[in-house]
Amino acid sequence: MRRFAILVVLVAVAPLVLRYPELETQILTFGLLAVAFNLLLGEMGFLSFGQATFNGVGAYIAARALLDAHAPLPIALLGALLAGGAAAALVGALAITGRGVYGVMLTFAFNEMAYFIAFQWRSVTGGDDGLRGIPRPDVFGISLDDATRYYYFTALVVLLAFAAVLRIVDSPFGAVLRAIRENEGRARAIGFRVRRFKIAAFALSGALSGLAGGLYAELFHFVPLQAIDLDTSTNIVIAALLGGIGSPYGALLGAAIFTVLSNSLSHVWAHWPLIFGLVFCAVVLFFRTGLWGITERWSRRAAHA
Amino acid sequence: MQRKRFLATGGGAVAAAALTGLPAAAAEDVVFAGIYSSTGAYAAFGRDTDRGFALAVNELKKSVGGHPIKYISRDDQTKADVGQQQATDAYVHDGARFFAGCASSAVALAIAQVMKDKHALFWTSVGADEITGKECNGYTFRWSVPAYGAVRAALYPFIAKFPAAKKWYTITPSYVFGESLLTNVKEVAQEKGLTLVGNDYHALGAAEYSAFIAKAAEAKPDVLCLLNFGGDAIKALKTATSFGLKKTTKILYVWSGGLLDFAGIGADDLDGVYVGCQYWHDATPATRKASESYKAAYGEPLGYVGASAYIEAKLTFDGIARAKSTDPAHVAKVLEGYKYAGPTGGEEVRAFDHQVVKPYYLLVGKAKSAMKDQWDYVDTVASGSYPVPRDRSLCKL
Repeated sequence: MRRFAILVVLVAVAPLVLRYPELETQILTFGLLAVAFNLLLGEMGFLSFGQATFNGVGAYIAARALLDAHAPLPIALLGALLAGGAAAALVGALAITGRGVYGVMLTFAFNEMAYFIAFQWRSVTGGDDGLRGIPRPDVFGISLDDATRYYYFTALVVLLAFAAVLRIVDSPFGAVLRAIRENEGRARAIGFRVRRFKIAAFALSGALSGLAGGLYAELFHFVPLQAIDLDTSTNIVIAALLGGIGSPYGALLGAAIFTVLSNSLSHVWAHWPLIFGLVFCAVVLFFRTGLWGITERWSRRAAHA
Repeated sequence: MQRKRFLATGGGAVAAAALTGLPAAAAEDVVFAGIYSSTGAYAAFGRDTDRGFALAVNELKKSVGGHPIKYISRDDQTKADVGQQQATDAYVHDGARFFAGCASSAVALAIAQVMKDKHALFWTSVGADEITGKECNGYTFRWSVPAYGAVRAALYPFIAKFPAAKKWYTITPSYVFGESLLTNVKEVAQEKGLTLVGNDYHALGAAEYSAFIAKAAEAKPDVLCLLNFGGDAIKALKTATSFGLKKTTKILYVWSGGLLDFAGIGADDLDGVYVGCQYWHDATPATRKASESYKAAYGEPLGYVGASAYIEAKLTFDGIARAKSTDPAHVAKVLEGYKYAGPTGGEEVRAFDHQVVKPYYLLVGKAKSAMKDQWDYVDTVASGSYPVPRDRSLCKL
């Protein structure tokens, strides 16, 4: 509870100290993607290499709802959430039939498939050009035109989603996911319908990713094809591992650092991914618990001092 | 423990400093942001774009109307979302209000949207008609001839030269630039009675073209018409040559990157190939003159990429000087209808769609033995200017 309160305060004051609201909004939407990924890997022990699929589906659904139906923003986001969840339930149901690395490869393959569908289906997705001119309608009579206001709107949605994730992780459902992670056979032997739990976890993760995509679509009034490509999936994995997969807070931290660094390093040095690769290798090799693990260790030591 | 805590606090402070954005420029500085690809599909054009911008800034001794010019550059990675993020970052973090660049139409269209929201001036030289057509806005300007004019200026003299070449095969990158060129080629084909026997779409930055070229060869066209750009077109053209297509088929590369592309293609493969271009240093006395200062600075002639960057920056600063203001809205107003001496001679910024009216060139690759110097890849066949007629323009400013 104390941690969540600190997070709320940090999110609330971020526009006062960080660079600018558009970047902070990106941190939140990307953070939500990392948290959704962490639900699968951190809790259930399934490495999904296709999280951008659900992000993209959510982004396209929200964009189309806003462009074609002039839907209110909450409805568009709800659509993104449901569509992301449905897509993930489908992909999950098929991916979990593959054991170990084959499951990972299946999420990867479905992501490629989704990418090419988006690439070819220009009338719906805009193909390589992306979808431009997506409106950002008022919510309950409040204009979100201003970047800072949109940041606070996104913050509210993401914090609610994050609170839901914390609740889910602490629930009996979360305990079953961890049981599956630790020993799937035993979880099944106790009588849990492992397959259903796995699909449900996928659907949850996909719904959160879809929501993140939906929120991103209105940020720059634009859905790029990159929303659904493998690079984005890879970035989500990197950010979550960097932050540490043990905790949803870690995923959020990793996403924040990844977003800020990739945004600011790229105009310092064109080959910035190289630096990032080295940092990533160091974290994976020497700090298995990620940056969040280091932070926790520090705070524990400080408490003992 | 104390030392550790100190280190932790110190680390935190460093991180905070890195995260925090303190406006870097003083209020009276003119911050000019050059946007180009240092990485990504169009990275090859980054160097010359930067050189073009730098030349214009240095010619003014880094000052315009008493305001110091601060030139910064950003890498769009040839990705629309990255372009938007980087432009926003330069706007908010560096205080940039004047932007120029982009090699990809899709990226430029995405950035133009940011410029419209932020009321910042943006000059670009991408191809898609939409930039000064359907998706034009009060803050965005274009120097290059758009697809409409480029296709006509390249195709009309080509068709006049080879009236019997009726069967055409096109290769198109599947994004807004390629679509724009293809739409115009179809219009000209209908007008001139050509048959488009086939078209292949490929992704921007595709690695392999032999499948497309084999298919094109199978169709036995009179003309292979390349509607892609930069690295994509170079690869497609080299593949076509190695298939021996030049023996049976004329090749027309409609929108080339000029000198940079020619160097990438090489004189042997370029020999006999027809290419369209926005600027060629040896085309006319005006283009020869424009190339001089660039050659003095960088030791090679001015190419299309450098020329477009140079003139985009120069027009931005001309606008600031003429408006006696650093307010992008004022600058945009004085640029409307502006007539000036540009890299291709007398050029004009149209007021109703912010499109520059200038010629486009049709060139043809010459044999290596006929080259006067290492840059003399082509002869000029024709030049023409076909601006989008006002009654056809979809732009509403």
